[in-house]
Amino acid sequence: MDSLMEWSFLSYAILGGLLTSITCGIIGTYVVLRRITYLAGSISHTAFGGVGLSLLLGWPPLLGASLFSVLAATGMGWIRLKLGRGKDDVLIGAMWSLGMAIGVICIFLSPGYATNVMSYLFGNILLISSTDLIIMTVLNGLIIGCVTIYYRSLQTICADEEFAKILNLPVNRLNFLLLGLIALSIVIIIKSVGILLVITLLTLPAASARLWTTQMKNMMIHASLFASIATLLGLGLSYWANLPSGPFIVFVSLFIYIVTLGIKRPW
Amino acid sequence: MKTCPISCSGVTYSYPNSPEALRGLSFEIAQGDYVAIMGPNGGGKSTLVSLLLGLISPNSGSIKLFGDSPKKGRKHIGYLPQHPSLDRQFPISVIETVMMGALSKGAFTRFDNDIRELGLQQLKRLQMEPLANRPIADLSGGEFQRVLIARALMTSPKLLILDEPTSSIDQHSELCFYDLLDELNQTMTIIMVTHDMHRLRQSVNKVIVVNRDLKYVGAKSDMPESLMHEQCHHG
Repeated sequence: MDSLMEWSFLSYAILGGLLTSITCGIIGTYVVLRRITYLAGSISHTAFGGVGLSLLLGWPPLLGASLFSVLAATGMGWIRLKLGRGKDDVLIGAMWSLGMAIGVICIFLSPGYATNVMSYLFGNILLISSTDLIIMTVLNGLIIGCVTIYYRSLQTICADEEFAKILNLPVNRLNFLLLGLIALSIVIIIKSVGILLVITLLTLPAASARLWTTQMKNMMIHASLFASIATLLGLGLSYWANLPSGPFIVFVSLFIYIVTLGIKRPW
Repeated sequence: MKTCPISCSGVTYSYPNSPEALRGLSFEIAQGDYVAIMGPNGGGKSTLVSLLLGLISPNSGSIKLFGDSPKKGRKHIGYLPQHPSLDRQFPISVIETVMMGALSKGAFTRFDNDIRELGLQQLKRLQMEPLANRPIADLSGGEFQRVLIARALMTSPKLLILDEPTSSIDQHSELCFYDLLDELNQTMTIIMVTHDMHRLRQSVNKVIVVNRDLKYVGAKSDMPESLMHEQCHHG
């Protein structure tokens, strides 16, 4: 019976890890190519406010995290639109802190919070439930659908935003769409590595993939593959060491990146 | 009689918290013209291009492109910027870069075989077809320039705007590039921003000199000697 339960946990974790990896590969590619790591990090930390509010109100934490992530992405997109790229870092940093501050207050006011909070801050892929898997599948489907439809337009605003404007592409709407997709992907990744480590999975596999290919589509595929290796190997190592999975996933991602740098030597 | 696809009337523009970059510009450009916009650095040449492209709007005065506002009329423009905003390290091939131009049809456009064929035709026109599948990061300055022109031509533009197009290519590439412009001028209007009076070709039939104000509009041969000397000095 115990081994059956254990297998159930593991199979959910493996499936969840693979779903997370697909998201990381696709959205991470945009984050790396658009050079918006800081913005993505800020959105993920703001999600902590949503987790805290959910725990206080008795909602499913991923619901609050989704709400806060999407609101933060919209807010940051608006700030960037009004102030311009490069002049928005203070306000984006302020939103980062505000989300964390709201989370801390809400969690302080919630009774019996400690275990839950740790799993959202640092992730625990073994705690992925069947409901989480359904949410992750739906969000993944939404992300893949949007990217398929807008692939060329998103590629163009990432490569050459000025030219996209001249083509009369809806550049602002596409930027908001991309930020929204980043917000949704963060919700998927939180369960695996936690809010504090999300940015690792959103950047390192894609940054490694960038050095192996000269095509954006291939970069997404390579990044998903690297994220899968990091997630599954990290899960295996954490299971073997009986330690939290999130940090091990980060270690493997970093190892892949360092090995890639050693082989490809981009300098 | 030639039609006037571009007309500026009393155009004034100033950047926020700055003095006027352009003051009261009025001129017309006819179909088939080959125009050089000249003037000193900081004289407002690139600002004028941004206004024509509808990237910024004049504080006063009006601009008409093919009878429309610049934002609507720019669908007829192919544009080659001075400093291409296209990231040379972006993971994208030459043909994909050229096909970007087809997105003028809408954000949902898929790069099907017809669009690919059109892209290859543009590359062939510029003797770049053999490099179609190469990543843009592998191209020389002159080759990259040609790819950007091929991309600009994807929209079948009526007007080609080039902002200091030869600033980052070698002398041989520059000569080939001017030959190409002469050929393109057979089918489209060309506006080229340049600061180099020496390199203006015979085919340039109109010169516009701006230094905040409009200093001159007319044929190169009719330019006052003092102004011509001034432009040579800036070059």
